[in-house]
Amino acid sequence: MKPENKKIFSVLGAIIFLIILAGIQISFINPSFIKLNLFLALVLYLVIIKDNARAIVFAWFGGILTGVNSFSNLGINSLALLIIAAVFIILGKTTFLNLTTKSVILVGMSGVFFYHALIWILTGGGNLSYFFNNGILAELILTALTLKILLKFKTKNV
Amino acid sequence: MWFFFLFLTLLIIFFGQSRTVLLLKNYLSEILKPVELISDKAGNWLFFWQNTILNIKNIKEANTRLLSENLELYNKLSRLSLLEEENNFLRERANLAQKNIFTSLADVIGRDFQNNRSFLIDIGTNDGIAANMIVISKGKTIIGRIANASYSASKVQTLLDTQTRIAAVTTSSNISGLVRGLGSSVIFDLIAKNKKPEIGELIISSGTDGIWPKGFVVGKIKEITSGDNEVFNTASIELLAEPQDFNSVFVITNIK
Repeated sequence: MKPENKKIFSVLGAIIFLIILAGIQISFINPSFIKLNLFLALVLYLVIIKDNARAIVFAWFGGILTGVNSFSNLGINSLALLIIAAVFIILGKTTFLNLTTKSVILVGMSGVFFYHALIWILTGGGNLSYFFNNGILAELILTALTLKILLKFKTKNV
Repeated sequence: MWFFFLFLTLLIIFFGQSRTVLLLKNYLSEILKPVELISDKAGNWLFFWQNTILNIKNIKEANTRLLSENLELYNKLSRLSLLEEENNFLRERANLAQKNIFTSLADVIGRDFQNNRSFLIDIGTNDGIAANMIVISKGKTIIGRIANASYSASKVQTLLDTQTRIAAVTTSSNISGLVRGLGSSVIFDLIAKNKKPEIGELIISSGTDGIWPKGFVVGKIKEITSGDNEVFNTASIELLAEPQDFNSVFVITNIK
């Protein structure tokens, strides 16, 4: 296959992948007991494996897709994910981002907390009870767990 | 690259109500719909069994409560049938036609992340749906209103949303106030200081705001808060229809 065709197919593949992911997030995960933001986990995973360019593109497009059905304005999710990607990319260049279990759990948990804090601020603050529900606690654990599993597969395949 | 996407995002946010962004939103909504429908079908199957297993204890408790409520309701029903007869007679005499409410049935195909401030339904402008139409469940219970509608899907803003404001009144004590969404709960606000509704009393829309139609059920009074320094009393509301509890809703398309 010609390199330019390969590039087009990889872009198309990524778009289809993100659309499917957004559909699953909106119609399967959000109404269920599974509290996990797939796009946040994906962005954190890409940042940890230092695929920064893809992390930024996926953060933007993923945020736009999930923003179609969000109580906030279109673009707010993108903004939050982009800020998180930037913060963790900078942190990765300076300090604690590596593949140890401790680091991955720390990244997962701080990512979730930071994401919700950003959404809370970007949507005008309001009731603090937003932070005190079982959903966020479950998400903290699930995101860290998902990142650990994904990275385990990644390091196995390398 | 990050700055390019940041700039693009800020443009989308600032021009959120422009025609181009709304068109983009509509197209994305249409593209996502097939995946959402498939995920929804898979999800419904899974959630049915999830709820069945997780709620056995609750179902048992609810059953006991409902049995006693049922007895009370039978009692009220017998009184109501007499009143209905009288009411029909009076209506005929006054030559008033009963209000006809025209609705469209819709299935819920997507939900908001981690909260129930909004959800997606499978009908849109193609089915005659437009922004600000009222969404109800069985028993004339308000769920929310259409925030925006694309060709074949629409976003519903639920009562829990912080932008929700409904002029309402209690059924028995006839106390008026304002129903407001707080994001994860709903309150009955601006109750006159000298008035206190009863716990468990039903709240219905009064129609005085000109947006929400009159006579639709919002919820029940759960708890009343009355501070010495507060100008008004406030009550928390127990919703009769929690937004996450149903898969189908009615959209009011016309009231005659």
